[in-house]
Amino acid sequence: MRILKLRIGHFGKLHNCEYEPGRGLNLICGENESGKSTIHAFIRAMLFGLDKPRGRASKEDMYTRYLPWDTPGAYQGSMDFEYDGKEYRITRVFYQKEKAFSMTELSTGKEIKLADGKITSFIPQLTESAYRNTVSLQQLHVRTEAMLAEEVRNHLANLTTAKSAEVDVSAAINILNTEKKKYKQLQVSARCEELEEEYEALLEKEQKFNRLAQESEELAGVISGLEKEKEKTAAQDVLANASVIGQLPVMAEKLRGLHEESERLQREAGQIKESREKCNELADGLERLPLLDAAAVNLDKLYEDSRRKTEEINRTAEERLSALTSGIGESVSEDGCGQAFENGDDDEIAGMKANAETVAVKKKRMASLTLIGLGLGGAVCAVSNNRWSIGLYIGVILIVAGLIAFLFMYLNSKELKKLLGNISELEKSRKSERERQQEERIRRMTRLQQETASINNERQKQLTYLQGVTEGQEKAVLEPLYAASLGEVREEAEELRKKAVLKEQLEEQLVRASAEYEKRTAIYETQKSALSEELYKVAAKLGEAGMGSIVPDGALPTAEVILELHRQLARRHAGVLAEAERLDSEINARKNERERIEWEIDHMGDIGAELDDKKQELKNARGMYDSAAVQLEAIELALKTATALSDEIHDSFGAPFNRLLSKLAAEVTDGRYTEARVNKDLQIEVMDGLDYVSVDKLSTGAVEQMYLALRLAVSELFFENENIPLILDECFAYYDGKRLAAALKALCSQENRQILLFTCHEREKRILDESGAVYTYIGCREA
Amino acid sequence: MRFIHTGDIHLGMQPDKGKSWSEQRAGEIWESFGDLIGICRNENTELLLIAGDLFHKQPTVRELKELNSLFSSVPSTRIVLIAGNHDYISARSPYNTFEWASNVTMLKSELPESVYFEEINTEVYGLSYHTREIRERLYDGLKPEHPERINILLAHGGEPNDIPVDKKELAAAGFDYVAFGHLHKPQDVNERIRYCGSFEPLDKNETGERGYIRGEIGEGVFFSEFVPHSVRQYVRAELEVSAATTSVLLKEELKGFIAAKGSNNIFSVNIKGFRDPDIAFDTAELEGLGNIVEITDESVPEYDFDALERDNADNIIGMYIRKIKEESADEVLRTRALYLGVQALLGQKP
Repeated sequence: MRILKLRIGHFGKLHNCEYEPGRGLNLICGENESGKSTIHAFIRAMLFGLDKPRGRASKEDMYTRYLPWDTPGAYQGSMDFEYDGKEYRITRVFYQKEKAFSMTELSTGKEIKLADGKITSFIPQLTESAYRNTVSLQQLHVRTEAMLAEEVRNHLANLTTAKSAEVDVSAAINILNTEKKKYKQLQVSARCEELEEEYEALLEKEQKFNRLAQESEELAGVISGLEKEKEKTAAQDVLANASVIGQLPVMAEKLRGLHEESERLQREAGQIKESREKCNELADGLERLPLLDAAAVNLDKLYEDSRRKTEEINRTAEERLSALTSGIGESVSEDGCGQAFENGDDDEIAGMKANAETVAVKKKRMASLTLIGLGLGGAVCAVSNNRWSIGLYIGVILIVAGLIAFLFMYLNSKELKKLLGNISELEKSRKSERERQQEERIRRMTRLQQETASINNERQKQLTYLQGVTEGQEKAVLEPLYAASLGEVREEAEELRKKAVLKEQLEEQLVRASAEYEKRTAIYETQKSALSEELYKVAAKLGEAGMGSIVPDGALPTAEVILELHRQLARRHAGVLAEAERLDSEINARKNERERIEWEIDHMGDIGAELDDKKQELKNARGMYDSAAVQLEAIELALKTATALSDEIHDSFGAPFNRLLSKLAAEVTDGRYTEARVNKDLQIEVMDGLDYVSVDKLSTGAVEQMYLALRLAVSELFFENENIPLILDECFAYYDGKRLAAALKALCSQENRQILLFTCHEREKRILDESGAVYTYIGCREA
Repeated sequence: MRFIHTGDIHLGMQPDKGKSWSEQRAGEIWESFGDLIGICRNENTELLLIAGDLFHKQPTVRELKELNSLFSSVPSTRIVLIAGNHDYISARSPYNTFEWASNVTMLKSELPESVYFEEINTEVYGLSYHTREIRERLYDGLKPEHPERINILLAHGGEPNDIPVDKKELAAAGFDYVAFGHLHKPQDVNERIRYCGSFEPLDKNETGERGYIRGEIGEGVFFSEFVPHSVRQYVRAELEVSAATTSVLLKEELKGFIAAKGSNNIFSVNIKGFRDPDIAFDTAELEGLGNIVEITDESVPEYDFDALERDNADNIIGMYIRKIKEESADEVLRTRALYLGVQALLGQKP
């Protein structure tokens, strides 16, 4: 096939142009934006039509891109070409509303029908995809190396597997891989494993919950056991509960009091007994008292009689004596007058003596005054020493006074001498009187004495008789009483009387004491029985507590016993308290533990509901996972099959293709790479030294060279003898001069193939001109 | 002796959580069970057997009281129940201490025990779950002690994790009837060993009728029948599409299907068949048509594989179709792979 002429009506920026490419290499030069790519697109539109795509615009929308906005009706053109020795013309109106297409054989004018308006039905190998992938090479220079390599690879994959059909195996495999990824992702997102783990965790949590609940239950049992034990312990402490322990010291005190009272009562009973005995003793002998009293009266009377008789005797005697005395008594009275006279004399003498005494005193005073006056006057005169002075006068006066005093003293002394002579004469007369009276008195006295003696003698005889009578009577009274005298009788009677009084007092006391004793004994008994009752109660409780009796034989125990018991109980109570405390602390510890467990249980939430939800979730997830697995299995099968087929196809034409590729690679690279192949993974590899290396390891320029060689090889392989034109659009941008020369040389050697090389560089023209190659030059300029 | 056998009531469960009817369903299970008690009263049922999973999870005391009051309303029906794997008697379970009405017997032991009702000469054997799973074969070797009585085994499980059972041995053990619970699909081991199934269906997989078993055992008499009772059913709607089916047509078809099956029911919709390759169905729009718990679209684009194979005889598509057809994998897998591969090779995304 060879393009003969392109007539462009209005197409993009080209308007009414004609191009006539020659045989072999055509160099279509023009600056950027001069319409080179438009020519390229126009050829494709001629071959395959240009439909406005339905739906929204896309970047593939060539129709709109080249639609002339001002003259849409002129959106048309035609292409003449030679194929299999005949010339044809395709005419197309692209404008949607006037869309038209025709193909005629130029020599005969016969119209040729094309299904779908595509050249494919006329030249079967020339599908749109084959055209795109082999015939028409877009400029590649904007691509990165990696993208380029990928493009080559993809291109190769399509070519090697698709052959004539428009099937993108690589894309299909990509689609399947994407699907695979999607379902894998779905499986991952189902989170089956995690959910299973979560479910397991919940099961464990449930087990833990049950375990904790069990523990809590057991603890509750332990706690209740401990509480029972505590109760039991407390029950053992019944005495403490009944405040027995508190009562015991009080009871002991009461007991002590009772015992003391009992002792006191006993003592008092003894005393009462003693008193009673003493009373009895005192009563002994009291019956003599009336006898004694009677005897005393008798004796008194006896003695009274005796005394009266004695007095009688004496009075009689006295009367006789008195009578005697009165006869003699007159003379005795005379004697008495003499005495009085004598006394009168004495008074007279005494008066005289008193006068003498007074005069003597006066005399002494005058003597003193004389002495003082004379002495002082002399002394003063002597001191005045002959001078007439006051002192001398005073001295003279004093001497005169002294001389006067001496005169008076002299007079007194004369009076005194006379007085003393009178006294002495009186005293001499008085003495002779008294001597005569004394002689008379002695004679009278002798006669009186003789008569008195006779009277007294008679009286003595009478008295002796009386005494004898009295004594006889006295004896008669005293003898039956065994008493010696009235005094004795009286004494005894007095004594007995005292005893009687004592006894009476004692008896009174005894009555009071007995009454008191009775009263206190009664109180004692009451208290004793009350205390006994209390003790019995305590004893009963002690018995309950297994402590035996504390009131043996019904007698009251001693306070010490009770106190000892109290000590024991207190010890025991303390033990119980300690035990209770221990139990309490144990109970508390268990309760705390249980509380902690309960807290944990409370914070575990509704595990049943959680488990249920999780189970459902897991079930759903598994459903999702399983359905994804089914889909994955199908995808795997599809992938496996597609890949196997792709390999198979590759294998089927690999060897001849590789030979062709090697030849073309050698030409294009001017012998740099002489061996190239497409491997199983549809990658181009070249022999570099001794090993094949992947093409993407080469430099950009080298990759482009291999790409060109590949295209040439593929198009030769695809179209075999059809010699479909090759369109290269800016393929050599990355080629250095040497590479470009080699490439151009290789292109020129494609003898039977029409090649349209679009370029904006003059390099190609220069090289071609220099090498003397034959080519057609078409300048391109914006119309 | 007239009896009713039920189980797997799952009181307290809220099926299809997140769906609009879910809460109502929870209430319906209680109501439906209340109806059953009413049936016992009306039919003068002598024995009500509840074969485990009466509750979906640990019941609360409140729930037990509600239930007990319901039970006590049929004093002439003896009610025997056991705990299943869902409502197993945990340490904290209120079952442990709950005082049932006088006509209710719960066989709470971990190991088989029995209760004898003289008036109906019936002895019921059974045990309760005390753990979520029981792998011991607790029913093996269990035999009635008094062959002259009517002997019933009330059981739950029969699965590897839930008291595995040797069914042959059980059939020969001499029970007049074995009332099994646990499997939610009503089914029979033989005519005397039956699973009553869930009382109300509880999830989308429990399609078909649900109810209870009613029966009578006497001198030379044995009879039992499944009685459908559930308020609603789960229904699977298989919608077959063709290249001519559009979204609108599909919607109409589903509407018609729901109306025909009863709009009260809950539907799982599956779209299958060959659709126009250009059409994709909007499943979200379909969900609004009723109680739809799930929609899956398994439809595939309609390809004429024979024509495709013919037209692509010498390229990879033809080769692919041929090769897949030759695959030894099962039909479903092959078909799927065929669609996937051809779709991909044709450059269409699924």
